Amino acid sequence: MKKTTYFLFLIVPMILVVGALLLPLVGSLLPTFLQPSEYVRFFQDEYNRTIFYRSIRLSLITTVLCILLGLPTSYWLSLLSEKKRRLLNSLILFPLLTNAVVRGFAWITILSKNGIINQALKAIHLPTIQLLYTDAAIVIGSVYLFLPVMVNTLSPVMENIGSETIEAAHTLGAKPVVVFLKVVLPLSFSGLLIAGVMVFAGSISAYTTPTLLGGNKKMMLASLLYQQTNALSNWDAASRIAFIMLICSLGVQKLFSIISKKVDRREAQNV
Amino acid sequence: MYKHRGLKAIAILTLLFIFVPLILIMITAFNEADIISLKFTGVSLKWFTKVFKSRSLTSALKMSFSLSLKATILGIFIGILASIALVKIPGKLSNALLSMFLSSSLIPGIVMGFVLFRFLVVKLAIPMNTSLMCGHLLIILPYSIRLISAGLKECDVSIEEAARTLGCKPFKAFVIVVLPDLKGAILSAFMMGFINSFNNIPVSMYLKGPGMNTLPYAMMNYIEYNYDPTASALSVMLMLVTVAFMVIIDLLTGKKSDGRK
Repeated sequence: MKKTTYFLFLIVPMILVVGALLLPLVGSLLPTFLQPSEYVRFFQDEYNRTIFYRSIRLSLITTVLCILLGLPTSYWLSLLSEKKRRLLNSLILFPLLTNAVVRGFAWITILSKNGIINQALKAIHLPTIQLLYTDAAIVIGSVYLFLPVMVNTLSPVMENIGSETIEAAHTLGAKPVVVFLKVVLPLSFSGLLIAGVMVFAGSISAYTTPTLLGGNKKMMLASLLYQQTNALSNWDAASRIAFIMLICSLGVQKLFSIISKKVDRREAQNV
Repeated sequence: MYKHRGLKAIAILTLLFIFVPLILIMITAFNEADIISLKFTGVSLKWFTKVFKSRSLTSALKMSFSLSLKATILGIFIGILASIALVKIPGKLSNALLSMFLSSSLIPGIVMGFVLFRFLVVKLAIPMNTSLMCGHLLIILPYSIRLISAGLKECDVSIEEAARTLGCKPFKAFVIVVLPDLKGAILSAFMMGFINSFNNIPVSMYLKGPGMNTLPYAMMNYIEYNYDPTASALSVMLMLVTVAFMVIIDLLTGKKSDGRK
C-alpha cells in the first residue's frame, strides 16, 4: 500500500480531534485575548476570585493529601508478594472505573445532614454537624476520586526501584524510615511529581464531585463555567474561565513535565 | 521483609478509605429502612425494583447503554485504522500525530463539553445526536488509539509480510494474521472506552439535548431531589457491571497469554 493510503485512515480522527475540538477550542479562546482587560475584571470580581482561590486551594490540599497517603501505600504495595500486590492493585483499579456520581453519592450518604456520621452523633446524643456542602467535603471527595490514580501511577515506579536496592540499604544498617527518605523518595521523585500534577490538574477541572459535595455554596471553576453557559449563556465569560482552567490543568501539567525531565537528566549526570 | 509498622498503618488506612464508602453503599442498598441508614431493619430488594420502576432512570440507562456501545464500536474501528497508519508512518510524524490524538484526554471534560456545544451545536447547528456521538468518540479515541497502536507495535511484522508474500491480500492478511494478536489490546480498548464514555458527565451534560438524559446525569438529578436508597441500589448495579467487565476482560486476556506459553 502507498503511504498516502495510510493518511486516508487518519482522516476521521483528524476531523474529530482537529476539526471538532482543537480548532474550535482555539477559536473560542483567541477572541478573549482581544480584551485582556476582561481577565483583569474577572479577577477583580469578589465572587469569581473566591471561586478561583477555592479551586486552587482545595486542589493543592487534595494533591498533598493524595501524596501523603498514596506514596507510603504504593511503597508498601511494592514490598508485598507478587500475588498479593496484583490482587490489591486490581482492587484499587475498581473505584477508578466506578462512576464519579456513585463515588460522590457514597460520601453524601456519609456526610449529609441525615448521613451516617450525623446519625451516629444523634445516637449518642451529640449535636449534629454540617459536613456536606463544605470545603472539607469537596477535599474528601476529591481525595477519594484521585487517591487510586496516585497509587496506580506510583506502583510501577516503586516496583522499578527494585528490592535489591532497598535490601542493600537495609543490609548496610539503614533504618526503614531512612531507607524511605534517602532511597525510595529520591528514586521515585520524578514519578511523584508527575502523579502529583496529574492529581492537581484532575481535581481543579473536576465537575461532578465538587458539584455533588460542595453544592451551590462552595462552587469551583468547573461549576462556574457551567453556570455561565447554562444559566446565563455568557459565552465570552465561559471562554475566559475555560482558558483559566486550561492554564491550571494542561499548562501546569506541561510545565511540570519539563521540570521533571530536567530533574531526571541531572540525576542521570550525577550517576 | 523490611516493613515498617507506620507504613503498614498508612497503607491500611488508605485501603479502608478507598473501600469502606463503597461497602457502606452496598449495605444501605439492601436495607429495608426508608432512609439511608446502617441500622438494619431487614434485607430487602425493594430499592432495586424501585430503580426499574423509575422511568427517568430506565430510559436514561437505555440511552447511555446504546450511546456508549455505538460510540465504542465506532471508536474501536477508527482506532484500528488510525493505529495501522500510525505504525507505518515515519517515526517523528507518527509520534506528533499520536500525541495530538491523545490531547483530547488532557482537556478538562467541562471545557470540552462547552467548546463542542458552542461550535457543533450553536454554530454549525449539527443535530444533538450527532454532536453527542462526536463528543463521546473524542472521549473514547485516546484510549482506543493508544492501546491499539501500542498492541500493534508489539505484533510481529514479519508474519504479516510472509502472508502477503505468499499471495494474501492486505486486508485478508490483516484480518487473519494481525487481528487475532490484537485481541487483547482491542478488548482493553473496548473496556476503557466504554466505561469512560458511560461514566462521562460533563460532555454529555452539554450535548444530550432537551428531554434526553444519560444515566450518570439522570442519577445526579435524582440525588438532588430524592434522598432514599434507590440511588444506593443503582450504585450497586453500576458497580456490579464494572466488576463483570473487569472479570470478563481478565479471563479473556489472561487465557490468551497462558495459551501462548
